[in-house]
Amino acid sequence: MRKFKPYGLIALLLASIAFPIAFPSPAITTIAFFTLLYAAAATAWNIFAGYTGYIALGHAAYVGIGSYAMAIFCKDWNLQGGYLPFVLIPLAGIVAALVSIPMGWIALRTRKHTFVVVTIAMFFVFQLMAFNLRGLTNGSVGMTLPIPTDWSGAFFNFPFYYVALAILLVALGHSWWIRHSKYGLGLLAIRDDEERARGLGVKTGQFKLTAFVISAFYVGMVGALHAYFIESLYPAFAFDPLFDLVIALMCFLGGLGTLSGPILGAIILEPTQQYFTMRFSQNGYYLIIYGAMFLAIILFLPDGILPTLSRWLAKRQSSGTVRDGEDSDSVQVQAPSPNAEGVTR
Amino acid sequence: MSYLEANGVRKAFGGVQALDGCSISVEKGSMTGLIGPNGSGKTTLFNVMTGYETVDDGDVRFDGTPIQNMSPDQVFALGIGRTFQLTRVFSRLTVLENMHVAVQRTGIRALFGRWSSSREQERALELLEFVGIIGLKDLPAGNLSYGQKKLLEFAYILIAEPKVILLDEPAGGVNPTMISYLSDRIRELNKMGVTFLIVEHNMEFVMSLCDRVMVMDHGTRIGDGSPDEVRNNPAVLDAYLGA
Repeated sequence: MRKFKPYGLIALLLASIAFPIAFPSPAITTIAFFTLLYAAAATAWNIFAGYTGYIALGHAAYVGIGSYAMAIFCKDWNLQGGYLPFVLIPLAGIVAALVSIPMGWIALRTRKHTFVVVTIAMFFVFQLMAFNLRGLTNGSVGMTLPIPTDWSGAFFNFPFYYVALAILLVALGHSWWIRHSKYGLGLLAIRDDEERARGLGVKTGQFKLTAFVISAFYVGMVGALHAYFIESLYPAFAFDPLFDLVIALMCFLGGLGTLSGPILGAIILEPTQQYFTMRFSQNGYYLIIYGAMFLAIILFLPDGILPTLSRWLAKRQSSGTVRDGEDSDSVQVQAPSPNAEGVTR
Repeated sequence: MSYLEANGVRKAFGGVQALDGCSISVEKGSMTGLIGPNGSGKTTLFNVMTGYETVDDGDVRFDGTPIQNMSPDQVFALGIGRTFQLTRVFSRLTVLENMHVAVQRTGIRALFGRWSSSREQERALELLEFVGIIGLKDLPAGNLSYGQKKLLEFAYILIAEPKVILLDEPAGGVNPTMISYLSDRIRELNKMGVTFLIVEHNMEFVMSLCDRVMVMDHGTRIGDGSPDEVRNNPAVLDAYLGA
């Protein structure tokens, strides 16, 4: 388990708080906002997929549900644009989480590839519902959310940026806490050998479902904030099939199942995507580049940046200590154990 | 009534009758061996007794409680631990983390507790010391050698303080020094009151360790007695040497 390093984190936190003040241009803060939003979503997805090893590709459904919950709340309660809608974000997250309970319960009866396919199918069911439950969602006509009219163009991104940062921090704190809890250990055990974990008393069904619902909650909040930012909702965009590929790619790039890997992935990929979208949006080149990156990661960095890096560092460190002739018993079997067998394969 | 028993258990996989009315019994505090040729149903019997497979017919009882319909976690919670023929450790967790998987908590602490309390940590280190792999505690379990994985699997079962331990070929693929080391540990635990049921092909290992040996063939028990009795039982010789 990695040690807690508060200084680096505090510096990062201060930097992320100061960022929009240092770079107030709306073009930059928009990219920063989306980066934080995706970092939060990837962190949340990682709590489930990274820790349990179940690759869910239908979390975009909970983005959509969070978005529509937000829009419907604002409409029904006649909310004006301003700070008030932000308060509703956790509520939208709860709606997404509630919907995810039966969905997770069903999907988690299956494993591996079947699970992936089931989650994708569930996603499309929800997208279809958004098109067809016109009384609730207005169908393909879409919905609008209140616009904060008294915020100037220069100021507009600031509240969104900080709310996104807040969601990310809470999700990250939650993820850290899970990683260091008995519960998290159970999830990681499920990832390595589910049957064996079950045989050792881990309540695998409960554990997986809870993680699924937790991640749906945060992803729902991300959807709600996103909806409020773009101010309008259409089924095809609120329920975006690319979303899962993007956050999965972020997690794989940074390091699936690590604490900060998803954030690193988001920091690398989201600004890149925004840049490509701005430059080549008309011809969809960025999708080709994305596909190429996915291939490159799977081929050359299958474990992601952070695990590869930490393994490389560990290797360097251990070869260093062997040279020093110190601490070498840390990798040797102690007496009276028979150490005739090699330590590593 | 025996401490752990299977009565007339039947289990088929498609056309293969893996267990055909098999009955065995294990006395409390004993070390019982279970031998038989390949494919005689030993591992299937283990799976049935630990909740990994359901029975088609018959029942399994532990201390009088029927357990044939329980799930693996429920059986484990009752106090029956097992190891696997092909060792199963959590390869991406460290050795020490592996030790803590088996200590599950109930109630609110299950969700809100740190992954180990200091008392559990102490116990985990003690057990790693006991099986002799304490020096490897921070390595990913996947980096261990086969024999070391066997020791780890053995240790992480002990942390839950099971009353009965089912060992599936503990000596398979392990060097002789390690085998005698392992038998010493098993004897020590048995003295403390742990009951053992051991499946093993290494006859020397079984005969030296167990006070009673049961022999299986074609999914049913064909012999039962002290190591010497079993060694001279014609049906057993038949099953092993072919008639």
